[in-house]
Amino acid sequence: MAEISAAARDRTPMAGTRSPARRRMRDLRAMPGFSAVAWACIVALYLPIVVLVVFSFNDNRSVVRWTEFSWRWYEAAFANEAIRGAAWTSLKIAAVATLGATVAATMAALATTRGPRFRGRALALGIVNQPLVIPEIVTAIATLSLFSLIKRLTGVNGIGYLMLAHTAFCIPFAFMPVRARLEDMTLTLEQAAADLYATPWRTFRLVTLPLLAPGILAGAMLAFVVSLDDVIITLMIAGPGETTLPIYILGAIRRGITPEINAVSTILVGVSVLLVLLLFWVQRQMRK
Amino acid sequence: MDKDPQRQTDRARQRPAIAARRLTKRFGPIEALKDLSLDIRENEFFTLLGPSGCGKTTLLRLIAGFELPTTGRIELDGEDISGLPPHRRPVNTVFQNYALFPHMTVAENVGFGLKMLGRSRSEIARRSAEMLELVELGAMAGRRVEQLSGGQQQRVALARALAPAPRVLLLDEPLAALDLKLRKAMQLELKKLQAETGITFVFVTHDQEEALTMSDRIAVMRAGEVLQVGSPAEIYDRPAHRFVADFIGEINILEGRIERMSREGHALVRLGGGAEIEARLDPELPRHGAVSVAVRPEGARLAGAEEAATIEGRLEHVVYFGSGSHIHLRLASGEPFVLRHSGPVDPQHLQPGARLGACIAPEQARVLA
Repeated sequence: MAEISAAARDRTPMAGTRSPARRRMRDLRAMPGFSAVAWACIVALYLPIVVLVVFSFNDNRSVVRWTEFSWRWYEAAFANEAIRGAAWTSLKIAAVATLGATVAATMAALATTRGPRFRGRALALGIVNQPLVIPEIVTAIATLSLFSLIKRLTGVNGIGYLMLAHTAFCIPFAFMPVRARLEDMTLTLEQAAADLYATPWRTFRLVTLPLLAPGILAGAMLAFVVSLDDVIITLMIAGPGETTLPIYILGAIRRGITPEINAVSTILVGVSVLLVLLLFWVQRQMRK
Repeated sequence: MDKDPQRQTDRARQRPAIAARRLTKRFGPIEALKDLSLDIRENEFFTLLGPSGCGKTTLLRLIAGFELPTTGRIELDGEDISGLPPHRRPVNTVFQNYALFPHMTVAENVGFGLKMLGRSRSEIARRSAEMLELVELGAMAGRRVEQLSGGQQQRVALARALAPAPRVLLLDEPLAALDLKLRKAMQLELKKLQAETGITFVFVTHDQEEALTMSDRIAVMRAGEVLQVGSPAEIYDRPAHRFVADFIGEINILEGRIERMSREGHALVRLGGGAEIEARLDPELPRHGAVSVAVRPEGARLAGAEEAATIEGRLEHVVYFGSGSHIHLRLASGEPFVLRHSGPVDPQHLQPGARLGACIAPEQARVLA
């Protein structure tokens, strides 16, 4: 048998291109009732918040009857010693939890994507993400039991327990964006650095870390928001005088909803929205 | 002491810069390299050529230190480097997708290696500028990497890898992502750079034309083994292996049986269709039995009207490609045969089914091992 080499080798079938008609069929937006459903979702999600925000500017004690625009509830909220104290407590806890969780999450992400493969790597990933699927009330009670035990054994009290608990449940939230970023980054850049005589530490500091920074920042912001908003675990762990903003709000509404609470909640929403916008912006930078 | 400079450089060229000694690399059950030994000489443009999955990139990564051999060792200038991490090997790599640091400027990329070597700031600046000048990107030093075109990024990657003056430069299919015209230009530029810098280049490609154009020597690889090492002319004219003959350029392979030897030492081979062809035979090969005869398309020509043809066949089709045509025949044995024809083709020959003869000189036919 005789053969001719190159002629047949290059004959690859043309990849089928998708027709516009098919694409239109797959487009969800073309389905009947799409915009009705979409609008229903948006209203259900955001109408309550709109109501909350609107009545925070109401010059009246009522949160159901509009009279006139006013800043008075914001002034009242800022003047309220208890609210200022709660806000400060929230910020302290969130700051510590963000720092601790982000560092731990970054190390975990590096170990599971860059380190040598180790036995139980899949298990480690599962364990890191577990807090996301365990009901928060269970985590809260478990943490409470553990901390009570430690307190009895050591006699040490203080806000440190709350910070530790927040750090722990923030880790998976910080972990996700860091790991996603690491998985997107090809190993080639780090190999290129090693190839150009960079020691492993300098490779990490000069190449891995700067490229990972947007992921770390995103993780930190997510952790910050999650810590700031937490109620259930904080409620269980917090000792006397360790009142965070959400806990204060919860306590205040037991005495009746006032527009002052609306004002504080609006500020919380504002901070969250700001952070989410920042997150989007950072992720846009990441993709460049 | 030898005073003849020519013979001195000849001897320097003989000393291997890189020596692979019985290298084996396994990835789980897959054996990517099988007991491979190879010498890459000082100062040469050496190409690892083979289809994808032949182990050429694995070998490159072993030399760079990104992978460690399962068994065997790698020597650089006679010194065993098999166990050294990549940052302690004086070899640099040009990666297939360039792997430029996106958060650094062009100049910072080029200076990175020198900075890691602890060179002074002024030396880094001078050398980076020099390297960028060499690849004709002097004006781009302050740009960010993403502002450059693919071809420019390619040249920055080259400058970056050359800046620390490595003992050996490794190139992993660096031209694969460029369009044809740019690729041709870069082939010449690479060849020129190699000659100017005097650095040993190890180039990986699956493109046989690229390998023939650029290399001093080529190693043709298949399935983790080196089948043949030689100059482009040796590989093309005297393929030691049927796979090599088939992989490099186009070739016709005809099956037959050696009848007897001619007075000139050529084998007379009876082909399947009954025709007899005279072919070169390496002295170490057996002088009898079933053999394959290889003929390049340019080694055959159309027989004239009164000329005795070596083989005959019916015309299937003609492929015109500008500088000539490939005439595809079907031989009496059923085997296809392609011959290259430069110059105009006689229209009456163009009738499919027409009987055509081809003349093949004994030097153009070769019995394959």
